[in-house]
Parts: sequence; C-alpha cells; structure tokens
Amino acid sequence: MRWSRLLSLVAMNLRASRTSAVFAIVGIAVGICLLTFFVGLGEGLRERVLNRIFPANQVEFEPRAISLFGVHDSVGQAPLDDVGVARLAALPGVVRAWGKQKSAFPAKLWGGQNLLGYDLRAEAFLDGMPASLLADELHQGEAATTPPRLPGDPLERCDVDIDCEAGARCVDGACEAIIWADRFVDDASHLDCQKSDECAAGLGCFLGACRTFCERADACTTGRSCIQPRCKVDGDCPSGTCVEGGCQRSVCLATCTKAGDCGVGQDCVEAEGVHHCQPQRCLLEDPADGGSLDPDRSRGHLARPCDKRNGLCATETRCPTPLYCAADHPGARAGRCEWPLPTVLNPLLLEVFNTDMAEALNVAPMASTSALYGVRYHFALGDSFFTRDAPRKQQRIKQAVVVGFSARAPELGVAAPLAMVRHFNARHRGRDATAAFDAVVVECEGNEVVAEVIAAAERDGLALSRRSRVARTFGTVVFLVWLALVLLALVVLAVAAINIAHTLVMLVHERRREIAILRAIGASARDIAALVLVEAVALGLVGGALGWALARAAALGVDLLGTRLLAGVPLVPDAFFSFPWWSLPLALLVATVFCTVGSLAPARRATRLDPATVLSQA
Amino acid sequence: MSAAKPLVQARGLGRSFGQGPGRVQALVDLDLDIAAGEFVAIAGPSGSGKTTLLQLLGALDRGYEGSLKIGGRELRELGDRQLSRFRNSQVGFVFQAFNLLPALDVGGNVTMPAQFGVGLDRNRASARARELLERVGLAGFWSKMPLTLSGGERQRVAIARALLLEPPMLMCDEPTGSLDADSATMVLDLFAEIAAERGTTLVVVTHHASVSDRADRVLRLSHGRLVDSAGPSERPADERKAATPPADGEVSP
Repeated sequence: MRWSRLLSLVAMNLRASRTSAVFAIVGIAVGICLLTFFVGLGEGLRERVLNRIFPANQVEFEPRAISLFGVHDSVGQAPLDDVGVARLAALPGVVRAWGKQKSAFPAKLWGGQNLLGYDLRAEAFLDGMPASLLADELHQGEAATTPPRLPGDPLERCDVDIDCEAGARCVDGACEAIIWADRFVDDASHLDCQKSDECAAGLGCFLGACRTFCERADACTTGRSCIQPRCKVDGDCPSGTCVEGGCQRSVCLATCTKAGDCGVGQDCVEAEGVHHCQPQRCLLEDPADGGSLDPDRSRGHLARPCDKRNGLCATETRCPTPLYCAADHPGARAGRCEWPLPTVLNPLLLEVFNTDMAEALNVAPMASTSALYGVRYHFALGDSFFTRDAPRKQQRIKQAVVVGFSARAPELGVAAPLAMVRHFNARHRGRDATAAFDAVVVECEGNEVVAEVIAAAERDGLALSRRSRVARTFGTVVFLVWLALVLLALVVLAVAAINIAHTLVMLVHERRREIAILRAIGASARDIAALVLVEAVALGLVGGALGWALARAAALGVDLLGTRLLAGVPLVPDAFFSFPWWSLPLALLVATVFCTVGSLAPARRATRLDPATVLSQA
Repeated sequence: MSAAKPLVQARGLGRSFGQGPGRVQALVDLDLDIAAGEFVAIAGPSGSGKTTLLQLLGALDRGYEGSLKIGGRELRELGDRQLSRFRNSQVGFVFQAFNLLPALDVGGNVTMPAQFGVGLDRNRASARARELLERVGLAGFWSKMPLTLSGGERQRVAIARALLLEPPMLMCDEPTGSLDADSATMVLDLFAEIAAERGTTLVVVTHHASVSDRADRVLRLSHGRLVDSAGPSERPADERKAATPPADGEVSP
C-alpha cells in the first residue's frame, strides 16, 4: 500500500475512533510528560547544581595525606609536579590535566566601597589556576559583559593603545574594548623580581621580571624573542650559569624598537644591550594612594629620572587607564604601572553574601554575578589579619579585578592566574615551594571513564579532593533518585502501552468488517498490520509531542514557583530544569516504541481476521 | 453457456467448519467448471452453501478440501501476498450489504482497490473511477459519503469499486437482495452490459428468479451438494415462476 494512502487511512480511522484515540494519547502523554519532566529535572540538577560543585566529567586529586599525632603530611609516591600532572594527563580516558597551587603566604583583601558604600575586609586565600582550566567560565563572563560588535560598526583607528579611549586597547589598528577575561593569562613576565630565587621554579629573573627559558624563538609566545643574556659571572644569569660571556640558557623577552611596539603602560628601554619592553615607572602622590580605588589617585604620575642618584620625579601624565600605579612595597611612593590582577570568584560567594551577609550589613542583595564583572578591589600580599606579617619589603599591595565566576574557584577565596600565585609563593616560601602542585584537576572523556581514572590516580598515590568526594557523593544520590523517577515514568509508560494495546484490540474488533472489506479488495496481511502499527505510531507521536510540551510547561511552572518560594535560600539555582536538545527526539522515540510494542498483539490479531467469516456475518 | 475453456475448475471441492461432533460440512464433493465470460447464478435454500462456494471461488477462503483451480492455479498453493494480489486484480466483489467504507467518500471507496497490489497510479485511478461512476449513473457523487446514499446508489458504488481494476471475474453475493425492484433491475442491466462488453465472468448468488433468468447457467445447491447445473432453456417455466425473491436484508450463509 502506498504511504500516502496508508496515512490517509490511518487519519480516517483515528477520526472515526477519536474518543478511543484521545484516551490512548492521554495515557501516552502522561507517561512521556513524566519521563521528560524527570529527564529535564535530572539534567537540570546535574548541570545547574552538581556542576556548580564540580563538573561531572572532572575530578580533582590531591596528594594522599595522613594525620598522625597532629602531623599532617603527604604520603604520595611521587611529587605532584609537572611530571606528575603529565603522567595523569597520559592516562587512558583523560583529556587534560591541570595543576593548581594554593597561596602559601598571608594575604588580606578589601574592597566594595563603590558597591556597598564601605569596604569589606577579609583574609585572602588564593588558588592559582591555569587560564585554560577556567576558559569556559571566562568566556561566559566575557559574553555576559561585552556587548556584541555588529558587522560594520565604526571603529576608532589607532597605532598604539594610548591612541584609544580609556577602557580600550589597540588591536590590528583599531580600538576595541578591553575584555577583562583576556587578562587572566599564565604569564610571569609582568611579575617583578630582583633575583631568580624570587621567581617560580622553571623561571629566571632577567631585567627585573621573571622570564621563561627558551631554546629557540618559537618556544616563546607571539611578539617575544629568545634572547641569550650576556654575563660575566654566574650570578648575572637567570639560569645561574655563565659560559664564556653568555648565559647557558636563553630567555623569552618582549623586544622592541620604539615605545609603540610595547603594550599599554610600557616603555621601550635599552638595558644589557637589548631593547625590551618594560613597565613604566610611576610615583604616587601619597603612599596611601596605593590602597585607593580613586581613578586619579591610584594611577599616580609617570616618573622620570631626575637626579644623580637615579631618583625619580613625577610628570604630569598618569599611568594610562585601566592600569594603576603599583607601589614597590607598602609605604613606597615609587612603583610601576600595572594591570590589575585578574581574579575569578566562586558564585557561591555571591549567594552567601546575599543570603547571610546582605541583611546584617544593611545593604541590598546583588541581583546577579554580572554586577561584579570588572569590579576592582585590593590585595595586601604578605599582610594578614590573623598571622604574622611578612617583612614589609616583601609585602605588596596589588589592585585586583573580578574577571569571571567559576565553581572551580575556592568557596572562600579567589582564583588567580597560576603564574602569579607561584610567583608570590616563591617570594614568600622560596622557589622550591612552587615546584609541586597542591591539587590536579583531571578532565575525562566522559563520565563512564571517571571511575577508572580515579583508580589509576589512587594507585599513583593521589586521593580525591574533598570537593570531588562531595560532588561524587551528591552526584550518586542525584543519579539514584533520578533513576528511580525515570523508572517510575517508564512504569507509567508501560501501563499506557497496555492501555494502547487494549484500545487497539477494541478498535480492531470494531473495525473487523472494514478490515475484511480491505482484505476482499486486495489488502494483504502486511497491509493490515501496517495500518494498525502506523496508527499506533501516530498515537505515540501525538502523545509524545503532547507529553513533551506538557513537561516543558510544568517545568516552567515549577521553576517560577520555586524561584518565588525559595528566594533567598542558598544554593538554589535560577532554574531546576534543563532540557537538552535530544529530549524531544527521546520523547517521540520512547512514545513510539511503547506504542509499537503495545500494537503488536492487536496487529497480529487484525491480520488473522478471516475475511470470509466476517463478511458472512450480517 | 459460453464454449470458452474453463476459467474455474473444481474437483471434489469440499468445505467444513469446526471439528469433532460440532463439525459442519458446508460443501460436499463438488465438481464444477466455469468458463471465462460465463454468467453463473448460484441458487438454493438458506444454509445450502451458496455464499461458502462464492467465497471459495473469490479466493476469500482457501480452507477447502479437494481441488480448486482458477486460471490454472491451485488457490491453496498461493501465499497470502499472492492471494491478496489475486483478489485485487482478478476478482471484484459485490455484496448484499454493500460493504462500503463508511468513513471514506464515494471517490475514496471506488479508488480503494488501486491502493493495493500493482494498483493504478493516482490520476489514472481517479479518472477511471469517475468514468465508472458516470457509467453507473452516479456522476457528481464523488464527494458524497456512503451513509447519505440510498441502497441502490450504494450498490452501484460497490459495483464501480469492483470494476475499477477491470477484473476478469465478478463475485456477487445477493447483489439485489437489499434493493427495491427498480434498483434491482438497474443493477442487473448493468451486470448484463458489463458482461457483454468486457466478457467478464459473473458468479452471482441469488434467490431472485429475475437474476437467475438472465444467467447462462444456474448451479443449484442443497445441503452443500450441487444438485443441478442447468441453462435457462433446460429449466421448467413453472420452476422459474416458483422462485420468489427473499425478504430485504436476508443474507445467504
């Protein structure tokens, strides 16, 4: 039979038996509604709640530690250094692995004057993270805060950054808005030093900044050259070894011929026979301005040498926006024009603030994380509310900026570029303290390989971090509850399929004369079976689509109700449901399969009808 | 009677229903030849096996004993698909109860056989159906629903449907049984014209003398046995007069 005629016959049959069809569709729609509802709920919990604790396909490991008689120590078989991270990354089923390092120095932070009317102050704990680990969240933040540029938008032309307005920079001859997320990079070249011991392991101090070692220019990032420093003694070299007037190891250096070759806030200067980019020196009008967020005071004035002792005198020009004048140490007026430190916060911080702190502080809750993008605050590194401060010369006051939000950031702390945390750890604890990571985040190809990866890592002397353990426990509970609910939905569908079978058996009985007529004029048993099966599939598709739509509507209602009733409760997501693209195909497929299974017996019964007997009956 | 070679050949044809003590022998040891183009009436009292024989000849039922060949092919040996195709292309059915599909309009009913088997394409089936409806006097009835038609009109729709694929055999079970005298005459005239035009073999189960009078041959059944197979000239006139039409709606078993 032709498909067109088959479908028109099915439509005819459904029209003729619309009451039975409606009941059958309602049964399937209820089952599919429940299934879709629970799938959406499961996906929502996983995506919006579980992934906020930790992504399902990622696990975080720490060196296994024991606590015995108050002594807490690592018992890992191998240090969790770059080699250890590479070993984990090479495990089957692992896509990538990132090392993390916590701050090992006292620090405090303050800020919020612009938002709250006064500054909040707290002890600061930093997690150093590679930029690539936070790439997704940084991109989301960028998308949330950067207005899309439309094709044909007029762009201001420029040669260097200072040709552009505040908050913009020069890229390929055109000004474009600064994307704060782009500042979160693993680059140590802006971190000042006097000697290589102040730099993290694997880096060397050259021309006042920590540099990456290189063999050839292509080992350096774009715009940098691989330069071999000249030397007389070993102490002149970032690598510590001088061989016949040249350092044993070369370093990556941003070379230049004029100021325009360098980034904003940098000069092209000649030293050690090399023209290179160096942060502009600046002077604060008052040492206290180092802790100010005032756009003028915090930028100080650009400095120029003005006496024989190489002293500095202020010019009229300030550090260019959005840079600030970072004092060499607390109490000093002299400093360097620097970008604020990019930091990433945990979204839980905002929830804790809104639910537990806002009322006590008599301030309005913040509507969303986007209000905090680009907000600046201060760190005092080496300074503490609780413990002994580092020597004043080792302390630094740094301006920081919020560039994104991530569940990977510490709940009570901030995430900062790994290179920066390692740098300050080296300064305060010695460079040996920077070789080993405190934790490693492993991204697996899928959830199914996570267990194997955990087993392999545990054999390697690592243990799941507390956050990963919580996430996995929570994930297991969510999965089991979800599974039970899905099974419930499948039971409802099975009942609906039985209902479909019963309905179709009744319809086949009602239509036995029509079936016999069709057989008499040439329909084969296969044609008759197709009629019943396609009718069941049609019922399934309509019921499936209806059930899916009902589930979406119900989920919307629950989300609206939930956000109203649970407003102010910590950890409550904006929405409980997430419907993946495959939820509709799944609903239609499951409905079709159940209806088809339910129609097999009626179809068989229809094909076995004896047309001679039926047509003999009046 | 036509002198053409037999289209239908039955030897020792029997049909029984049920098993054991309740077994009913509807047809017993029947030998029969029907030539192509012949108009055969099947007559007999209720329960004599007329409809059972018609269904066997129309390939609706193949649970027979003995041998039944149509066009030289033993029906029992055909699979469901072949049998369906045979019914579709070789046989047209006309029933006393019309048996139209109530949810389809007249056009849909008449073109339905074209949807099965080798079929006709949509345009040709539609054109042929319109031509047949015009022929049976129902031009302009294409979109009407069967339930809005009179009995005579419904039967003519059924005839048009049976003729759509120009089958060589037309099986009619009491085709005038539900019709008034005028409609019955119109239907019989139609059969006669069709048989003359196309050489279609007509097998008609009837109680009506007016029908059997027009037949080339009348097969008379009694208790499942063929008791007489005579042409009109061989039948006595008083016997023909004695044959009375059945009440409307009566169906032969």
